[in-house]
Amino acid sequence: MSQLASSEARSGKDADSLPDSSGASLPAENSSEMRFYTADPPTLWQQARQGYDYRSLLWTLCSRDLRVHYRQTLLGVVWILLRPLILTFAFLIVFRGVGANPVETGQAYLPVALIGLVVWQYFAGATATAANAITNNEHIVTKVFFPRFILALVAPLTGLIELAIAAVPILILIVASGYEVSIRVLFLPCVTVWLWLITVSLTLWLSAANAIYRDIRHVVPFALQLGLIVSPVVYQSHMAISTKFRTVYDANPIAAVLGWFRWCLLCTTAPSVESTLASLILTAMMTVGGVLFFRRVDRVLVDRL
Amino acid sequence: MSDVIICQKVSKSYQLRASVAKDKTRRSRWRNATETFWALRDIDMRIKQGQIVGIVGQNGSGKSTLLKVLSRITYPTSGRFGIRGRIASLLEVGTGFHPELSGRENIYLSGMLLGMTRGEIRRTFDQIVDFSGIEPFIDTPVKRYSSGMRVRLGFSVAAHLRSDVLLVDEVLAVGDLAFQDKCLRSIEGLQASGRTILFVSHQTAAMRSICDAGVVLSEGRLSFSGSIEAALEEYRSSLRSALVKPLSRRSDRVGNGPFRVRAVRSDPSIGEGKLLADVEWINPSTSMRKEYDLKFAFLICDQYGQRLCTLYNEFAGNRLSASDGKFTVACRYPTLPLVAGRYPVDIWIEVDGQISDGLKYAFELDQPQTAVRASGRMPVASKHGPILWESSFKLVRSDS
Repeated sequence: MSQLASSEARSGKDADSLPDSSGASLPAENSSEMRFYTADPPTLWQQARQGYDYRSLLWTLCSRDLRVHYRQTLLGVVWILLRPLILTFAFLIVFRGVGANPVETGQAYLPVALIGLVVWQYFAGATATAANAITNNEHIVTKVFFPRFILALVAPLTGLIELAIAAVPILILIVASGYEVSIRVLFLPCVTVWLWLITVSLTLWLSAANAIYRDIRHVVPFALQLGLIVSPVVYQSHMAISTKFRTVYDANPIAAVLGWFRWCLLCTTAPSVESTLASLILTAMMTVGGVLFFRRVDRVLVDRL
Repeated sequence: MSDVIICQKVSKSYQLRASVAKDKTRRSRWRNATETFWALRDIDMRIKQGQIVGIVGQNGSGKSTLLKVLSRITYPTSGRFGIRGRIASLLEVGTGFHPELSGRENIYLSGMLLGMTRGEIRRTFDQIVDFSGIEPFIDTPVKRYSSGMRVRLGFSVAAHLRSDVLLVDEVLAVGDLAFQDKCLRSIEGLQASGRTILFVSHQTAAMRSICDAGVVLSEGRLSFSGSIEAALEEYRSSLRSALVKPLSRRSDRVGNGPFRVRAVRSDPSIGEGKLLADVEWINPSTSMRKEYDLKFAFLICDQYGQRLCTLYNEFAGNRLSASDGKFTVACRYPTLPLVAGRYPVDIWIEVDGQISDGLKYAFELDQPQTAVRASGRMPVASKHGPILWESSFKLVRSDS
């Protein structure tokens, strides 16, 4: 309170219109250490701590993006489910039309494709948004300090919230159409974490690269379109891909993740051990590489934005 | 009092793409032809707790870069700096505001970005809203705010920051006068509570009234540090020192021609002023058109380089058609209503929408001692302001 008194003492300035200092206690002198900063970026450990310190900012940015995304929309979050549903029916009609059934026997096409498209929507949406995460937030990146990698995490996190919203009606739909809910559902969180990790590793790479080379912005939408076709989103891989390409194909982490999602929910055949291992290793490599690459770019980020 | 900020040999360089005009061969364009530009060079300084330090310097002298380095937005190239306590940077009013979000949501977003915790914002929320004076619109999207309201809200968030060190860049230049005054007082209030503030502004009057120390930056180096008065004086004389060089040897120009000012003269007579600029064609290699439409301005400034008035041929409605060779642009005007003193004059030439020549402090206009006609008294610029104006007073009784 001594602070308030002293500001009042400054010659009759109406102190009540000034922001008062209640609830803010300045640390006493010397209570806080002087911290030095050099040209060297913080270590990985320090950065992780910074990220933890700024976790509430991460949530605020997530809630900003979610609110902004659905503001002034009529249907709001219904869009999360509507898009994959429409696409599923579109693909159903196409495959019926050509007389193909790209799912294993004993499986209906609709749930297989719906799960594929919802998962893909998460992955593609988060990747496309996060690729522009730093450039779209240029106005804050160049004006205040915060650990920049937070921006690469925002889209994968908001995406998870949307994914959770979409999961509820889908689970109901699956149960209602007579699927048995087995113990496998318990693996769902693990598979989701894996999916999240793949997405984050990509967004770290892409957001950092896009900050310096804006080519990324042009490549990403195209690459994602291609990805929708090459990955077993609207079909199952062993139904559509000839064995010749399977080795290469199985290394696609998204293919393995999709396979495991369907295994959890629809009791389809599990992806092979080799495919899973290869995908896991690739995911790990991409994540480590993404972290290192982002740190490298982080040093010059603001100067070259 | 202990040091709150210590800078030790802090330097910052930028790699600039070498301008295309400079590399002669096509190959060097593909090689990484870069030039190193030192925005900050070996800055050493110590700032004590509770000081309000004004940073002055010309545009491009590194003021903003210094704030960006200290606020850790960008890394220094070499050297190190230390900061005690929490630091917040206020490089813009309404940091992080999103137009789609409501005032309420934006207070949280901006506050978080500026380093407040959610609890702090919740506690000070009502004060922030009160201070901004936009309570009825707090749940309206910010995109529907007037720009004034946006500024008020932005500054209100900033004024409630509870950091130990505050870095402020030219944010007082916004908002109406009453609000500016409120902001200045809130800064004084912050100082009273022991906060340290680094302050970049071109408003010398504001700096003089709230800062107690000053540093001068010139071309990235710290050329002076001391009291704010001494710093402003140092800055003023450094501006004037440019005048010693003849115009043809000045390198601090902007624009690449084709027309360039060689010399500026003035030729005052009673009741009238006259400024003359000798201009020459400097690009013999470019293919010559018959005529160019010149846009020519004399910008009359006060001693700190702030513009007082602009004499511009487009304002005057006069066309200036120039061709190659040498010529003189003459500008006549009624005597300026300025208090006696020396007023710097900037030059600006534009051709086809391109800057041809721009030069600060090209000339110093000597305003002779002039008295107020009615009384014969002579106002002084530093005390009464730069404008000399006639007035008359009388007393009108209102109790009849």
